[in-house]
Amino acid sequence: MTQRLEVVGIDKHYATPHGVSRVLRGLTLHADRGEFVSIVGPSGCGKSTLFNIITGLVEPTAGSIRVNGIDVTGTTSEHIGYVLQKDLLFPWRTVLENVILGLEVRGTSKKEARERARQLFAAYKLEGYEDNYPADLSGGMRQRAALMRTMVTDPDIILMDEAYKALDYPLKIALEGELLETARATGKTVVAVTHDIEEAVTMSDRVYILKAHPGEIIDELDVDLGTTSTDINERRLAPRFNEFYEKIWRGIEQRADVA
Amino acid sequence: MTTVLTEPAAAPTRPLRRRTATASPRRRRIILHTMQVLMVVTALSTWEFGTRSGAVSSFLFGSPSAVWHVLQTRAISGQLWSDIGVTSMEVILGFLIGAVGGSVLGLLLWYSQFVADLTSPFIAAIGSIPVLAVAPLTIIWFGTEMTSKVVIVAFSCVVVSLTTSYRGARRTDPDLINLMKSFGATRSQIFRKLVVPSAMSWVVSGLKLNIGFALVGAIVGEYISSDAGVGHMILLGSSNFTISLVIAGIAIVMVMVLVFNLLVSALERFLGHWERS
Repeated sequence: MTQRLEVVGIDKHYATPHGVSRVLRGLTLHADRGEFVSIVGPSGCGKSTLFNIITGLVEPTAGSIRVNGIDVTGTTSEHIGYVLQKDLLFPWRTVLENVILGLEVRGTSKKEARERARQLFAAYKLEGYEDNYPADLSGGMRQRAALMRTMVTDPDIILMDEAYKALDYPLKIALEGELLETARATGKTVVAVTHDIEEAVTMSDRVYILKAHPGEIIDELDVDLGTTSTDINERRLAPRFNEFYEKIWRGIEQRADVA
Repeated sequence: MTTVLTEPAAAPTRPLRRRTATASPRRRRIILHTMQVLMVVTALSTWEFGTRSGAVSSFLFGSPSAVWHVLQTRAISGQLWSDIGVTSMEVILGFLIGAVGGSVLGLLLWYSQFVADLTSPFIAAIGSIPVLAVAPLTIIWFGTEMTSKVVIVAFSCVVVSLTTSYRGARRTDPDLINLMKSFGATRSQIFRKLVVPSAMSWVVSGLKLNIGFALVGAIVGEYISSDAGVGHMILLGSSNFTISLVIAGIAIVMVMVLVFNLLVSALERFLGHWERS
């Protein structure tokens, strides 16, 4: 059976004045429907490069990206949406206009786009803010708007790059819980690139551990906290949380010592 | 017992000091404006009384009342309005072609880094030419009528607008461009929906800078050859040693710059409404 997302044998080299810099080597991973997969690694492991390769913004030196079995290497796919730490809202557009950006670009009529977007505002706790500008919104609300902008285009795969890093802890937990719920309810595949082990353990079904220089997968781990709750605190207090946390931590640390 | 005695004595002095130290912003503004008006009134009345008493030569320096008289007679005869009309028309047309056209070109250069790099030394070279140096040439090429002044005004605006708006377009956040690309946006969609609005504050600052340059261009053009306009009025005054006419002309130029500034500021507020909603 084909996976939602397949990353096959990705190499990425950059030419520098001092020779070739190898950022990623032989990276192979996958994520299936309804799965939450995290990619964890220390800084310098090429997470952002990998992220840009999956979104199609950067071409890999070798290897391919397949979405639903179709090769999309080096091109952006309508099945992939992403959320970054920066909310990337256009300040001159209202929240509603920001949310419909993707639909607008793809040629959906403004009327239809607005209707589709309006239905989401209640679920993302932004009702009543449709016609406000991003400057009026708090950090959490802006991130919710950014997630809405991605979700309204109905992608199969959502890529996250440290999306909630800049938020304060209670808000981060609240948004993570909301994300888990949305992903479960819609059967989306979420791929999160992060160096936050705690977040990876709490959220993921599976974790890939990367080492740096060059970025390579050194371990793959199924995370089963033994709870189906989407409440982040509950997940964090699950008996097996520490066990997984330690496994990942040791995986990263071990390699850091060698390097 | 001593503490009870000292307390009421100290209490009234504290609020008094605080009041003088920090006036409310509104109060401060009123004080500022009042003082500014007073300064102008003082300067004008010193000038007026100086010339009346003979301490200041009215032949060399005119006088506020004489300037006012000149403005009045020329307003009644209609000469004033036609001069203002001619210069305004030159400024507006030249501004639309030079500043607005330059801004559009600068934004469009975003499409091609190659063309931008190719043309940049030439744009810089054109920008380095003082308007005074090319003005005689434009009179020869485009005649002594309005066209030549419009060309001079456009010339004095175009490079500043072009370079500021190009720089603004280049400053578009690459992460936002990537976001647009991830939605599958075409280059023209990225340009229209992202680059143009995000560069708008740069474009407007270019336009603002150019108001002054446009007026200079129009006046310079009129100095070299003209039969109407505020520059013509100033030139006429100085060649006849009618100092009041010269000063009246200068005052009108100041008012015109003020009005154009207000117009562009209104445009800026309209475009930037999202900043302070």
